[in-house]
Amino acid sequence: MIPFDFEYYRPDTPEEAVMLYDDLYKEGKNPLYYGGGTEIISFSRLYQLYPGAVIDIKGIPECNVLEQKNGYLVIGAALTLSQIQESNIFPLLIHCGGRVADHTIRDKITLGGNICAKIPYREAVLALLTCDADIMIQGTDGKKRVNIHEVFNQFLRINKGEFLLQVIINEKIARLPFASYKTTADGAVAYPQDKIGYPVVSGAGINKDGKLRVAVSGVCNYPVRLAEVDNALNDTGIPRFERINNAVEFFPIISDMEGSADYRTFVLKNILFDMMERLEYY
Amino acid sequence: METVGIGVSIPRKESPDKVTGLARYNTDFTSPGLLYAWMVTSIYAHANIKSINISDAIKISGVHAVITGDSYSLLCGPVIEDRPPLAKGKVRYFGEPVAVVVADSEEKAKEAAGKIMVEYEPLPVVNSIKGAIKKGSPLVHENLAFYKQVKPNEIFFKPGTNIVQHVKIRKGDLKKGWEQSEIVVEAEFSLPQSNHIAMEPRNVRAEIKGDGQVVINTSTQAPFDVQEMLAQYFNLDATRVIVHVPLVGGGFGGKTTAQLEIIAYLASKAVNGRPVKLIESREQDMTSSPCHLGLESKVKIGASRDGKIQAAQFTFIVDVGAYVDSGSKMTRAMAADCTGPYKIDNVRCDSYSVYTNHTYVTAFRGFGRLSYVFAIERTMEKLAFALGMDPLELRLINALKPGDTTPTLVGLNYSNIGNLSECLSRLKTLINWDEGVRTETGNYKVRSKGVSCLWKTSSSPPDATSGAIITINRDGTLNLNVGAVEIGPGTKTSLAQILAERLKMDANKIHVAMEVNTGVSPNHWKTVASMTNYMVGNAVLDAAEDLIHQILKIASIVLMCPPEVLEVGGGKVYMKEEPQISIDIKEIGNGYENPNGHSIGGQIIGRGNFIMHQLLPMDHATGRGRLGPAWAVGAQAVEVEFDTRNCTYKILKAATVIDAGKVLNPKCAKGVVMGGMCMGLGYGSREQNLYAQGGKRENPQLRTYHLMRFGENPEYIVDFVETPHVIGPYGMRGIAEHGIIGIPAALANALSVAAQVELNCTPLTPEVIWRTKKGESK
Repeated sequence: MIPFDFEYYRPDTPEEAVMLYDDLYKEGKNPLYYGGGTEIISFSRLYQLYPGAVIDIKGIPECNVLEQKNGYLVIGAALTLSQIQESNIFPLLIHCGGRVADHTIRDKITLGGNICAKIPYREAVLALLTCDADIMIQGTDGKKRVNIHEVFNQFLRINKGEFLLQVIINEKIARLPFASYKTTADGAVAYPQDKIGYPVVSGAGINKDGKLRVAVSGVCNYPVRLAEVDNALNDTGIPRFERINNAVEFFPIISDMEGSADYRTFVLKNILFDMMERLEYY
Repeated sequence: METVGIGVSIPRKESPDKVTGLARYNTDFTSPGLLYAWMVTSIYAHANIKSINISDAIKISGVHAVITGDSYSLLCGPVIEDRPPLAKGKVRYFGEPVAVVVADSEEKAKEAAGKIMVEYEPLPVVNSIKGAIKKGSPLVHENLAFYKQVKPNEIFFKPGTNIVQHVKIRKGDLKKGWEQSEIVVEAEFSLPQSNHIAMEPRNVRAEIKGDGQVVINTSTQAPFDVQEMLAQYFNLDATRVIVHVPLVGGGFGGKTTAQLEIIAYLASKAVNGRPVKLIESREQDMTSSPCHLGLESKVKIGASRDGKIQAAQFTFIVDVGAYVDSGSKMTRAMAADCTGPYKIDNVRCDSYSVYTNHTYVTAFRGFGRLSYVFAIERTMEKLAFALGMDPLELRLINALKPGDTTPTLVGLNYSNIGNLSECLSRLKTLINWDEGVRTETGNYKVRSKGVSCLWKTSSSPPDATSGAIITINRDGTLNLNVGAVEIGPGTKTSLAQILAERLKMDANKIHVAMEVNTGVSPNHWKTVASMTNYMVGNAVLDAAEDLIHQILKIASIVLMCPPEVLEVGGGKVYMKEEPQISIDIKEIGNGYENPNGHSIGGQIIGRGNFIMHQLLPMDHATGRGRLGPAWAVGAQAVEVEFDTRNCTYKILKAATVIDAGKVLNPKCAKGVVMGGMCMGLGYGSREQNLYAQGGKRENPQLRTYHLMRFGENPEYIVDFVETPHVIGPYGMRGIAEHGIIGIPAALANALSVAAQVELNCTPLTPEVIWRTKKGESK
């Protein structure tokens, strides 16, 4: 239960949404864009967030698209992780996003919400980082399409008032062989999901043109793909174990109640090893 | 003649409502003029309260009152009165209720609660059992010696320390026992506090009527206790306090203590008696209301080469948190059964409760047994290894039998102990023990098995009592009214089955009042301790005798014969010799009208009761005494598939064989045992209350408090042995808690075999196993 009143808006167009934001911001309402609401509700009920207004983007048609167009997949930010899972459109995203929370919550959590959330894990981002996705951003001066690596560094760095409209992925990359593993404090999570929990390590990898690309979550306080890590893993001149040992050095690995840093390192190494096996990358 | 009595799996009477969502729980009810309360809880584990500023809160429109610990002076507790309903002067645990806002809506109350400013002065924190007992530890309670003890000889504390209870067992000659021991093993164990996590968080409505009558609607396992406590604390006439309890959405022991009821009463009092509803959030349910105890223990066992145990020594130190509640009783119960169900003639046990700045504890399924059973069953495993003996065989050799005595010197016979050997033998077959306990299956995988025994009796007061009232309806069906709360295991259905069996009728024709209302329901001590079917069942049988006596009296007049030649069955009274000469009970249950209109009788009302008997409080010096009427014993096993590379595991199977005396409703019995096993697997594998430095609770949410999820359940195997407890209804024994008791130990035994390390703590997460394998302690 949220212990304060706030205003709720549900605009029909992206332009209306950004204008609303601008107005509400100027009125001092501290507005927030609203997707599934799981995080806004959770924080608000714990007195940790006090939005004066929320702007629900679920009524905006562009945010609800799910299509294959000119060799690209276009996925609206307001689609829920469950809807994406059911569409079967992007296997790696389905594996990464399909083990977030549980089925009931995935019926609420949106792709945009997972990307923009405060929670460290944001596992849907792993698929986007490994596949070099583009994202479509709506601002007051219109739309812009940018590569995720330009705007995602620990979190999505977009300007105040802008919001995430769509995610766009090269279909060929989305169809590449992939590996996705998740381990919680209680053990490995299969797909379809058999366990629920925050990741100690959640990893996504693809093999593109004989090169491994890997993104991980749970290791740091944010989902991350590091060029240094990819390079270390692809340094085929040295034995695999050594490459893995070299790669993990680049992560500032966290310690918390789900797992200590040394345990996370241990799990991460095993997951990287399994990924290499699966992707037949030796 | 249609008879559906005991031994038949009839559906639980409340099931149709539960599966269709029509069942109503306490918070579903509302009333005109209802106000809502919200608690402000402590963000420190130990701190002086310098000031509480309520001025911003009280200004919010819709807020009626704010109460704090300074609003009145009262200390509560079932054994020792050490707990203010709202913290006064200082807080002793993170989550402790500090103030309560009463407002028109829950939203307003919560909003105002967020505006109450509490100024704290942090104090040094007692954040572990070790911290509590170390020299010079800060004291959680400075004035322990001045607290009122509710009953004499219940609690033995050490003034000037955090040790608030010490229970001793001194049996036999320990020195001689060690001399006879050729092999001695010892080990230390650590099990954390955990939460109950009933699906229904704790909640209450309270109202004080114009004439002073107090009406409490609450989700409790102990309505009559709530009534008595409120009357006592507020100097009320007990009969002026009426407690209503509808279906309860799970309790697991967590709803046995009066806490929110007292706060809600105070809140209602602050608004001139208007009805006030107080519902805990999940976080509050996990931090503010009492939880499950933590235990540090040391066990030393000596045995001769033939495997017979000669001596054992136990030290249990229980983390009861910031207040005693029933922690001291669990400390005592653990000592009383300290040996596990094994014959040990020379025993020494010292069982302590210590205060810490953790959430205080109350009853939890098993009443302390699962914690100490973990210690003894792990040590048994170690002993078997040291002896080079099959662990199941070792347990068989030492299993308690008629003629043996318990640690408190209760003499055993088949009726009060049952047949553990038979449980073990049955288990051995069910889990295919002889195929081996450790099998490498390739690809880093190992399958392994572990076993554990269990036993438990109740720890009821020696005068615990139950009542039952039966009335006959015009259609010949019966109403049964008892004081037991329906908390999930199908108690009301089992009781109907007991009555149906006695009256040789269909249990579906017996209506059991689901709600308990202390104004009209006969007393029942508490719905706890696996004692409900035993105590209330006996009261029901007593009431049935009374009912039959009255039925026969009227029927003998109608059928013009002596009552001795008549029998009741199938809804009729008939002549034993000529059953075709009969009269339907419905013709006489509400008076019998002769053809000429002259009537006799009236509504027949059967009443019965039961009281515990022959119980004997434990002697402080030796522990001699008798806490409960009989034990239920059992044997359990867990089979896992362990990954030796990354230390993760899957639980494949869990099995339990319990001596149930007599199974009243096989599917209900299986269900309640399985539920216990699932809880045991959760506690053994992942559940724990995590306290950060400073005593702040780190995981007070289901996001971070790990539970067994639906899809993780293994295959459950449940079987029963039936050795009658001769004074139990139809020979039954209480088994409601027992499924949980040995499971964490069996899991740890299986995983220790798989990982080839000694795993002596819970939760057994992959990380804990990995660390233990690396040679690090927890």
